[in-house]
Amino acid sequence: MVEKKKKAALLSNITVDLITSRLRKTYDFYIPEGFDTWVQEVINPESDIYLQSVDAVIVLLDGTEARAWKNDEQGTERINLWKQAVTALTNQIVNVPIFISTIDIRENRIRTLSERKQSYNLENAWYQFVQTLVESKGNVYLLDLADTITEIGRKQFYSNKMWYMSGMPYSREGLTVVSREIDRVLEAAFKARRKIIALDLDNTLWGGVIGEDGIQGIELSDHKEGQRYYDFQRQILEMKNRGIVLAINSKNNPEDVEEVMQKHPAMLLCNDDFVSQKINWENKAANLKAMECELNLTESGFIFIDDNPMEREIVKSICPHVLVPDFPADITELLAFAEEIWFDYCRPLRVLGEDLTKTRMYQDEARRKQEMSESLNLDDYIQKLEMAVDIHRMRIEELERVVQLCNKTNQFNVTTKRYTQAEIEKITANSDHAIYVVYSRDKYGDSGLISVVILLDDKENIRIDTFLMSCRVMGRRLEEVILNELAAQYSGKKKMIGEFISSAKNVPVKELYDRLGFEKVFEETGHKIYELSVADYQKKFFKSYKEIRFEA
Amino acid sequence: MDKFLEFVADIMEVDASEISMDTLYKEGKWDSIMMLTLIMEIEAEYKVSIPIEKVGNVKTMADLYAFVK
Repeated sequence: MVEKKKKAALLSNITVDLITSRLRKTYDFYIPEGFDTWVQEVINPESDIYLQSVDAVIVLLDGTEARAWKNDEQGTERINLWKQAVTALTNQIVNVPIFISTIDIRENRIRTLSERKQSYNLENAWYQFVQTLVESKGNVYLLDLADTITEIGRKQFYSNKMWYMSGMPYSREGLTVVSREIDRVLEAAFKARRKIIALDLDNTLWGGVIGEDGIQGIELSDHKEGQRYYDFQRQILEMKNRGIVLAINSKNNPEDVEEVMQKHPAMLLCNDDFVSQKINWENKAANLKAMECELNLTESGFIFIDDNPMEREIVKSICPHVLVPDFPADITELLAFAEEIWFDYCRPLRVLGEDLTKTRMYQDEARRKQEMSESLNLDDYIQKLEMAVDIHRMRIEELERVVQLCNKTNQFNVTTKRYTQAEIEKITANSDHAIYVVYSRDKYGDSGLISVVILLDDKENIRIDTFLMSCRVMGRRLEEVILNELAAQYSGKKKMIGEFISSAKNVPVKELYDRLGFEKVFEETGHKIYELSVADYQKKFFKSYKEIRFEA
Repeated sequence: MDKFLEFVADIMEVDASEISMDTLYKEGKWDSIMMLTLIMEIEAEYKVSIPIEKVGNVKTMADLYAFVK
């Protein structure tokens, strides 16, 4: 099935046709009529941008306009006007991502440095303003244009000729990097990100072959040539610290690798950084398949990095959805190589606290799987896990995680209703409605906030608008525990009403309400409504659970 | 000359047979945005600098080709 092209509004103070013409194959664009009309467009609440449905908004601002500012006051005025415009935009559009660019003010270089102070201040003021929005609004993100320009250099990035000719100041190379950055942020907004990087070791994380060269012979150090690998490892660690999980897929003797991890002074990555280590003489594609099972991930979550083209080809042919990038022939490019992978396939729109502990969560999960295989039945397994659950009303600091779960949970999600931060806030503003969140932990670790239930009150009955759970904790009777507590809490009502709306991915919960003892009262293709009488509900007791806490 | 037409056709994403030295500006895919793209790409490929005051006089593909000869 071909997915419908996403549509982005591109607002700018320059002509953007040359940018959109490069991206038209992937996205549709809405561009306001006329040159530099974006401020009027967003300030007028009846403009086209608010009438059309767009999937994302990009505000691309060019500081080249600075050249037209005759004095400091004009510059400040202009920035203030932009602030008003962006404020209006972000107040009105709350349910699709908005990307706002940083600005680069290309000053007249004949002016002295102290004369240029104002420009630096304005760039910074603008950055601070947007950053505040990013932190306070759930749907606003930075598009770091200034960084893109710094990376390539102003002389490369801008073209005076293009500016004089077309009202668009970017060079051919400038257009390429700006288009690529826009493409990257839109991809991050619309496409699933890669979750795990499986790494080869010899000539990938260090130079040479450990089995032949030994720990003294491999190339790895914090200076000179060996630093190429050290820096690569550092980049990998940076990704790991932002939610990517790591694994090893290498043909080696495990004890040789262990020695490097334990004793090599420049080996940055250590055992704890990996969620799975396949160090053996098996086929690497088979190793990847085994990891998929172990970690409950699909092929399309994987990136495989290996210097050996033959290994890469084998993996590509057997696991076509695994991303297998070409390894740089010049090892000095490793640092940039890691950066490209991050920006193209991994960088999320936002890193949340939950993302930072992913490695530990996957490691815990592997240990649970082991426990499960040794248990007699489900209750025996739950008991061994020493499960503890905490159910309470959503607190304000949990809002962002709730919005994240509403928008990314596909499998255990009975209605798959997507909510923006503003919409969730609106629900909580009505004291009759309730949003419950669930935390779970067991002896292997804390799973964090893993379930959200949105309950809407319609006086006589209570309606389950949303019931979702992270797939990490599925299969532990948690849904029964949660529903049991909520049914007891609402036993003053007549009925609890559940709804199932089928999606491409929520098959696991197709029969959820049947399993929970609800009665089906309505059914049509892809849509079912259930009822459970909760008046005088008799609370059940789950003896396999170590602790269940409920707070209304 | 053929190589030039192939180069241009590639940028315009048309078959080389669809354009010739007589192709007129504003015809088919050759709009003002394409003109800017062509200027940028020709400058990069042929290492030439096309003076902007002459861009306004470009009426046909042959006029563009004149910049690289």
